[in-house]
Amino acid sequence: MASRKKVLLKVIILGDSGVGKTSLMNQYVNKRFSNQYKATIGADFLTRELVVDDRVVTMQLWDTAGQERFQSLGVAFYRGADCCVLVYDVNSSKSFEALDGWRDEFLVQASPHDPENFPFVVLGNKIDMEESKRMVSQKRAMTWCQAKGNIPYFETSAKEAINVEQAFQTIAKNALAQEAETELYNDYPDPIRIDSENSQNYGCNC
Amino acid sequence: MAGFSIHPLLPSVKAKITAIYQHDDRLYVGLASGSLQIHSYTIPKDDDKPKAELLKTHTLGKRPIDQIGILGESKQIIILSDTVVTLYSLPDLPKKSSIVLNQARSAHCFAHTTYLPKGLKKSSDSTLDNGMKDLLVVGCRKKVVVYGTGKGGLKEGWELNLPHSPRTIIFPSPPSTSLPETIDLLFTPQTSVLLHINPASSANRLSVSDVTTSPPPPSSSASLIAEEGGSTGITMGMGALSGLGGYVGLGSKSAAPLGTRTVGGEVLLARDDLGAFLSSEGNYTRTESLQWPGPPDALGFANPYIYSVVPVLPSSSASTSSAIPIPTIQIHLAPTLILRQALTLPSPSAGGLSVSHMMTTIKASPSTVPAENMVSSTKMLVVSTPTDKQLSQAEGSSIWALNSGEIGDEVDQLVKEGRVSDAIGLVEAVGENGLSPSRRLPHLQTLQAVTQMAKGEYQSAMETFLIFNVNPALILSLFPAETISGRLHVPKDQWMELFGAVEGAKLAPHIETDKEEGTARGILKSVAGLGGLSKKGSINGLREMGDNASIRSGKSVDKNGEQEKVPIMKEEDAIPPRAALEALMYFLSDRRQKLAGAISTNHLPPESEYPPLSSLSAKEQHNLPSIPFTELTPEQLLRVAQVIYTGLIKVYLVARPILVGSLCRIENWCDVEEVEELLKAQKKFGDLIDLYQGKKMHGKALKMLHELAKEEEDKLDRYPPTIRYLQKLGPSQLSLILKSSDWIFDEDPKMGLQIFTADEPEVESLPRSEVMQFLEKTNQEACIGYLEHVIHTLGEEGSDFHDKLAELYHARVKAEEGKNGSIELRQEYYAKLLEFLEASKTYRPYRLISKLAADEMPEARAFLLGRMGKHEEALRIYVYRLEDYPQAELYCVRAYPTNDDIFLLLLRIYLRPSANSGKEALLSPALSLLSKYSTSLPPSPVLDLLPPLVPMQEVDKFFLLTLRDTHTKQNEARLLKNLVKGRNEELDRLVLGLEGKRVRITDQRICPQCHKRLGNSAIAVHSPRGEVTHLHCKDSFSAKLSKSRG
Repeated sequence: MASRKKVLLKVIILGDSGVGKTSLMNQYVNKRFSNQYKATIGADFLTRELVVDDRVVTMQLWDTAGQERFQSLGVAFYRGADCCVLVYDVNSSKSFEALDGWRDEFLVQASPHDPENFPFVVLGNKIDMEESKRMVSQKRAMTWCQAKGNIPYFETSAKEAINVEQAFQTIAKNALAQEAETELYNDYPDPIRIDSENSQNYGCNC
Repeated sequence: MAGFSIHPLLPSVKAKITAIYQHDDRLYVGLASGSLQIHSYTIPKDDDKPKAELLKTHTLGKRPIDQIGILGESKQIIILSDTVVTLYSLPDLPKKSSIVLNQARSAHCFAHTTYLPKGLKKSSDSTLDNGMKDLLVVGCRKKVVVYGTGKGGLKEGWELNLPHSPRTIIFPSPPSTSLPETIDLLFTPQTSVLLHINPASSANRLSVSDVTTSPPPPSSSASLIAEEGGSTGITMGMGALSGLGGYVGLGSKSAAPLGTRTVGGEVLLARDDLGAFLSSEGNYTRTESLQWPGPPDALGFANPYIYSVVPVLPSSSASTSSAIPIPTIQIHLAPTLILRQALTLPSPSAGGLSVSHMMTTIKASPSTVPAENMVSSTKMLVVSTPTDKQLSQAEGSSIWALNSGEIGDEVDQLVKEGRVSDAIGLVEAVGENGLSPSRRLPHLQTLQAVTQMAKGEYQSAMETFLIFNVNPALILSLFPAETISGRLHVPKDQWMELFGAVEGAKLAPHIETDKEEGTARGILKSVAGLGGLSKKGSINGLREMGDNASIRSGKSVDKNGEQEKVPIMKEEDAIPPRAALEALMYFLSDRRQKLAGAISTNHLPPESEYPPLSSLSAKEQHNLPSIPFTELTPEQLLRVAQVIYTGLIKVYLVARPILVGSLCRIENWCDVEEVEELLKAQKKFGDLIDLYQGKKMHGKALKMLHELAKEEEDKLDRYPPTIRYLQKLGPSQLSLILKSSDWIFDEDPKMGLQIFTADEPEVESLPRSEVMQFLEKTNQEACIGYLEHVIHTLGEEGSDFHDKLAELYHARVKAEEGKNGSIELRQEYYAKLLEFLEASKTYRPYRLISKLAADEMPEARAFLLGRMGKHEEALRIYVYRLEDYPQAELYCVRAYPTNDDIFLLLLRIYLRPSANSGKEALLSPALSLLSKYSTSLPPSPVLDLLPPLVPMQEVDKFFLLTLRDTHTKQNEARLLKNLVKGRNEELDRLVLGLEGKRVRITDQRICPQCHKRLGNSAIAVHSPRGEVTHLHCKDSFSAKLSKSRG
């Protein structure tokens, strides 16, 4: 950290199809929202610079296609991630119940060095819909997050821009902490280093 | 051992050969006597050894012919003799029409080539006039003359004065390309310059530039290491000194510097015993130089090999002081400089042998079929002359043909020796088109990755494996059996064969340290003994080489001590090094994603359709094809998936135990049998259960849960895991649920009941009657709990369930009776039974009543009888058995709405006890009944029933109420009658009024239905507004009316 070099945070956004991953990202990065649904194909990323703890960091948000589970994105996609954002739709129980699977899938694919302390953030999206449609209570979501090691939880609306800014600020903060942690790893003359170096060299495998 | 061989082409020509040149099907031999011999040069179809036959001899002069060349385009032969270059027309050679190049007097050497002038494209067919031009460069005393660049062709010579005399001239570029802009001119073995030709600039069309003056890079050990088992190594015995001395004297002839073109504009120049590689800019192209044991006598190149003739002392004759060095042809692989073979020319009967010339054979038209370039063929012609004077005169020189082996065999050989990178260099140099797939670059690069695995370069090896889609089973096999590979494991010495290398292939070149050190020391000593013969630098070079050679090769050698940092997988270690595991995870993660992609387009067959992976032999798994996943058959894809996931879980167990759980929970293709013992050994029971669950191996999961429960003391830890598991199974697994819940019911039925009462869709959809039957057998209390749950909570109406619950309640009461236990409990149970009998509507009373003994539970019996409509019997029980009159009356109150005479029945029971019962008539309850429910009793039957003598006092209330009731009824009836009458009259009046209404039918009146005149037809009048229609239009019109009214 002493070097104060430019920090790039890689954040992966996962969740069932149609929960609003792309919308959240678009709202955060472009301050835009569109009611039209267009399924994401493959993966794409947007970046935004922000200040966390007096440091300017660039956050690279990787949007994934939730529709078909995991196309052949190759090994590089999840590797080197600093934070994983799990998104569900508060009006769909199914999307909430799928979080477990997404979390497991991420852990397996990214194989972080310290899986227990890898930062996740959960976003319950689409809270702008009428209350009667809501299927997942805040309590239920928070219980889950607590059970998985106190994952931060935010209820958001990409449409109304509710809580989006705050959620991503937390995401960046936790990602930065993780980044520092990996650097710590890298200080050891450990063969692990080979790996993380390589992951940086790799752009895209697709 | 590479497959080079040497064959006599023209043995003992009885003269001393001073020059040779082979062109197409002719071999030109220049003799010391000044004669030129022309031989045919043919390669028989059935043999790869060329044949030569003397055709003609021409005497061109008296001085030895020093150099011969052929200008292919102008069909002239170039002869250098007595420092004069003469051109003879080839077809008219006998006529001796010759052109002496006067401009190039005092010539030392020449070089010639053909080129394609700028602006002309090389035509595809090799017709005679294809625009190619000859170029001749003659090195003279302190100058160079270039012919063939100007407009005058060969007649025009360009000159450039030089500080020294060029002794050897090399074209860096191959013939038949554009005009060579740079030409290497070699002055001495240490000095050379670059000649630049620039026809466009008139002032400066010829110029020279220096090559780099820095010392050539050191040699690597590779170029000196003899091939394994080669007897013709570069061993120099202890007696080398005298022999070398002799050699130097003999070799003094070869003072001319040596060099050769290689590929890509690179030249190899012999700088004493080092071969330096230089670019056309005069810089070193490589970080290594080629090392010879001494300065070479001749040098040649035929892609991909460098051929050099060096004098080597025979090791066997080391002890004899008269040992004479034997000219040895060393063959180095150009891309990697590894010495592939050393061939010795047969020793003459007396004295030594000197090799004066070596030339690369020239084919008129190179074959365009790639495979033909791979076969064994003659690459070099070598001239040898005995050093013994007598022998030299008697036998003269000999010409040898040097044949290369087949490239394919050579590739195999290199691989076998553990020199995969050399094999790659070889294939890269010659191109892979004519080679079989196992000798092509993808396969070789995969093999190289295997050697990298052995060296600890895991990550780069994995990258290669990914590029070539190597079967994951093969990769896993490289890891220790105990933790990762299991049955797949292959010991290190078989790795190469596993990946399809030739039999016996090694992972690294085998170097016997002792022998190597011995050799190195021998060289050092012998070189040191040479004193000033060699330059100091080369001695240092040798020492360095010797040091390096004693360390096993590998990258770690470069940085001493680095070796420690690259942990290498050892056979005996169960846990591979961290870096190896990380690399394997990297590999498998990538494969997993690619697999997902392949599966999304090419769906996998269900695992159950095939035998489990664990039933496949290691060989079958190894034989899965190494091709992209999308090209696999569904079965192969399934197998690969199983291999990947099983491998992944095993790596995780060693390197990332926490992730095992995640992997077990997501969709996976782990082979359970392969990993279950490992998971158990690591106490990953929870994860194993998840895995079983995902694989629908519920039986195993439940057995495991049971085993685990046995170790838990607290019942909140003991049962819930199993219960939760069972709650998720659903109706399809009913028999398993029932079987597996047995033990919980044995131990804690209350907990067990949760299996069937949880608020989960899977639980609620279980078939209730099966569950009920099971529970009844297993635990009645639980069965009661279950039935109460389905009846009260879920609203089950089925008679079977209600019957069963009633029956169980009953049984429970009875069971309690048998015990001497507390009365309260029995009372409680009984109350519950009665409550249920009263509340439930769907049980079948006759079923239970048949179970009731005659005199037990009278209240229940009474209830049941009542349900069956046997009120009298029921009431009798209340009255006689229980003597509970208020209950009897209550019963009547409940039954009254459907049974008018129920009170009368009770009264009769009170007052007319059956004769055989021997009971007295119960007057007082009867009278209280009479007074309470007098209005529900018909008076006259009551009067009949009343005993003759009853005090008026007792019944006055009844009479009073009855009378009053009768009066009330009478009055009500009267009132009603009058009301009805009044209404009748009102209606009559109304009808009268309506009947008095009239309608007028005129000629004009039209039926509103059919719009025709009514005329004299029968009509209908519609109320209330009096529309008139035809009679036959009545129905349709009234329908219309009622519709319009809504």
